[in-house]
Amino acid sequence: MRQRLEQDNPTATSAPSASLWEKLGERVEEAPSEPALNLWAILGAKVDFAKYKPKRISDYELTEGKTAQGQVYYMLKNPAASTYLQLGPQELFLWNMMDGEHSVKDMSIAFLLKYGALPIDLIINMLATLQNKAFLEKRPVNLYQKTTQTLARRALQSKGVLYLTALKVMAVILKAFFWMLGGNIITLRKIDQSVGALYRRGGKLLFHPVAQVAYILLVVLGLATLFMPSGAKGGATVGFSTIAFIYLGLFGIILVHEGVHALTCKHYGREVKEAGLSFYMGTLAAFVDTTDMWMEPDRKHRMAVSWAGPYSNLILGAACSLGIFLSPWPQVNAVLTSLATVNFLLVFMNLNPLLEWDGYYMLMDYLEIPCLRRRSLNFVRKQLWGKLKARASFNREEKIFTVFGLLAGLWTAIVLVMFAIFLPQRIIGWINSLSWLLGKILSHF
Amino acid sequence: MAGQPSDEILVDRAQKGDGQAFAALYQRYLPRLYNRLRALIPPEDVEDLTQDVFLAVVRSLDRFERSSTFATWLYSITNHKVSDYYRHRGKQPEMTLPSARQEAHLVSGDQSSSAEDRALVRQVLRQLPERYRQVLLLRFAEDLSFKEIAQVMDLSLEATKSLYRRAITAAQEEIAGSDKVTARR
Amino acid sequence: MGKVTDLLVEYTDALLQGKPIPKEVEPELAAEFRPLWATVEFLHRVLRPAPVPSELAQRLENRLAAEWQKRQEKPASIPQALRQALEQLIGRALSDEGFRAQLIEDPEKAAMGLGLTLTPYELAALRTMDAHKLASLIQDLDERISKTSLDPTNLSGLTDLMER
Repeated sequence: MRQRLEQDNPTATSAPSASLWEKLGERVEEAPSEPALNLWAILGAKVDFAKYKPKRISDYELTEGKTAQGQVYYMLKNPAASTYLQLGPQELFLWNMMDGEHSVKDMSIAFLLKYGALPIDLIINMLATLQNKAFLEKRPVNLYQKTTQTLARRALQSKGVLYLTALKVMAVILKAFFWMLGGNIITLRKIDQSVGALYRRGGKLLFHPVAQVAYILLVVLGLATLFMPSGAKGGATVGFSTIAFIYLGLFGIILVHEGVHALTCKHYGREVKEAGLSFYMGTLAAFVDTTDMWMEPDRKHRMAVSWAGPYSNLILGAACSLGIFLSPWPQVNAVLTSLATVNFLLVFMNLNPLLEWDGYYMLMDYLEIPCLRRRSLNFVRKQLWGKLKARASFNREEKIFTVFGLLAGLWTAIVLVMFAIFLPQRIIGWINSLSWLLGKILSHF
Repeated sequence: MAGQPSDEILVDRAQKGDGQAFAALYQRYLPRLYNRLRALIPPEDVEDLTQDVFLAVVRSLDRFERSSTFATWLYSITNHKVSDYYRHRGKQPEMTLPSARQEAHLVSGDQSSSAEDRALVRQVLRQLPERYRQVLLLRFAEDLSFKEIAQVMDLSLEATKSLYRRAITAAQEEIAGSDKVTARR
Repeated sequence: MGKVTDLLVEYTDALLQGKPIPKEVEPELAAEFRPLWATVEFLHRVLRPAPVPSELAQRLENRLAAEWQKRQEKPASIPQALRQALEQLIGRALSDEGFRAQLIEDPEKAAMGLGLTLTPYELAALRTMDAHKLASLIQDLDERISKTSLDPTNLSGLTDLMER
């Protein structure tokens, strides 16, 4: 269905409208994650906000979508800065007026006449967000940065020199620690064209209906043979070649898993931003950035991109299982056993939605709540206890934030504690692995 | 058109509420807009977008301040609608016709116009700079004479002819090598 | 270049008017002219204007007539007095947080404070301003980073397992 946006006539009068709160339905009034904007206290009369004429960037992409509840939303993309935002219909109305010709005052009046509400806080919040995400052309005042810098500077200046030195030392240690929690190691930035070429030159066959049927058959057969006896008689002697094949196989599994994420993203006509190696929660991880899928209005397609990875592991695991059943060679089966185990482990690990694995993105898309994790943790930290004390009722989003926030918070704490406690053992483990591997290589020669 | 009111008179009357004046403007520009959109977007969406453009004209008629001609204003609305249309469709697949086949379209003398030909022309027009696109659409899709085109584009007749030739050259180059990456606006 | 341009224009006019091609092209211009002429013929073949289908025209007319009717039913633009009043009120509200709160709570009093007298229509427009904070639907979006963990300890653990 072609999405069409109508350019509303902001200057036409309309009869005074019904309560906006009723029109919008219930929304969570979230505590802002950025410092509260008390612009007037800090900026004072330096900015004549009423006369400011915001101008949106000229190169942007906009798509329209609809949630399962029928609420229309819009996705905005700045291709140059690779930033994304979701807007509601009212923000779109304001966005359409941000042509450098309409002042904030013009926009406020037009908005008031159309929606029957005074949008000043909305406009402030929106302008600051747009500015932060590089969606505005002129930046007469960096609203957030100036505010946060001023507030931060004032807070720090009230402490002593010793405090500041201790902070700096801690910062260095924490930086290394946090790098191991989620820092990049290798990043390949310009891979979109290569992935596109791979898709056009054969990758698209993976999405053919015949291939889809073949996958299902393979998975069914593979799972059916999972607990059947192996086709090989006798045990395997694990030699260098076996190890080498296992490592090659593991490398292949990773490549396939991330590769199908990227190819599925291309299948839906979106851009693969980057790929590489990084840390995540203390483990080494290969990654692909498919953030551009936000521009795809159909949540099923977005979920498909996330599902592609664990699905590929399920298929490969099933193939290995089938191979074990059919193969009469113990050496081959030894390799296939390892690979099958890894594949099935990866399926379960990736479907866990409590950390930012594939299952999380699928859940987020299914619920149609962007930034589910951050907003849930925020809600639990800042609003949950207040609402419980006041015995207030919870709407749909708040219920989801409560359950998910508590579970995700708990799981994250467990993982972080395990990581910290077992970090020395991990490092020893890595050293042992490398020396063991080196030993195997040398013994071969 | 001798004896017919000019666009400016019709716009003035329409802004004051004269429905007949608006109807006359609509009758005058419908064939031109329809054929322009046939050139720019897939056929199944032409009716919708034609409607969208005229609805936008009705809704923002009061805001038309006549600093430009009605035709220029109408084309400006059309351009925005077409840009929005392609933005909402997401990325378009690049043309994959091999060069030899493209050349064959030019020399075969085949009188029919296939869906492939139309898609190729759409792609080419989108790649061209705005002024080249405009002169080609005015001449081929809207069947205006070079003199009329000069008036619409506010150029001399010589400048219009020269622009036309450059547009044809650019179009010919696009057709010959149309596996370039589509440039962002 | 001028000769080729003139030829192109002349040939194009003849083609689009359905007249015979004027004259043969001089040999020294032919190499440059022919590919351009092929392009002209191609564009003419593909872009040749078609009559607007009558059903489409009818549907469009009905739709536009309804829209024109709607346009006639409401004022074409904001009444000047309301616009001026709103400009003053909102201009002040944008720079004065206290005034903004007062405007929402009691628009008539806020207007009187600025020396404005509003008509019932204008007051009605202001009174329906929602006292609740407008729920902002602008939403930051996560990065979508698909990851696969390859913990090396596990990898060697697996092969140890296998060796046994």
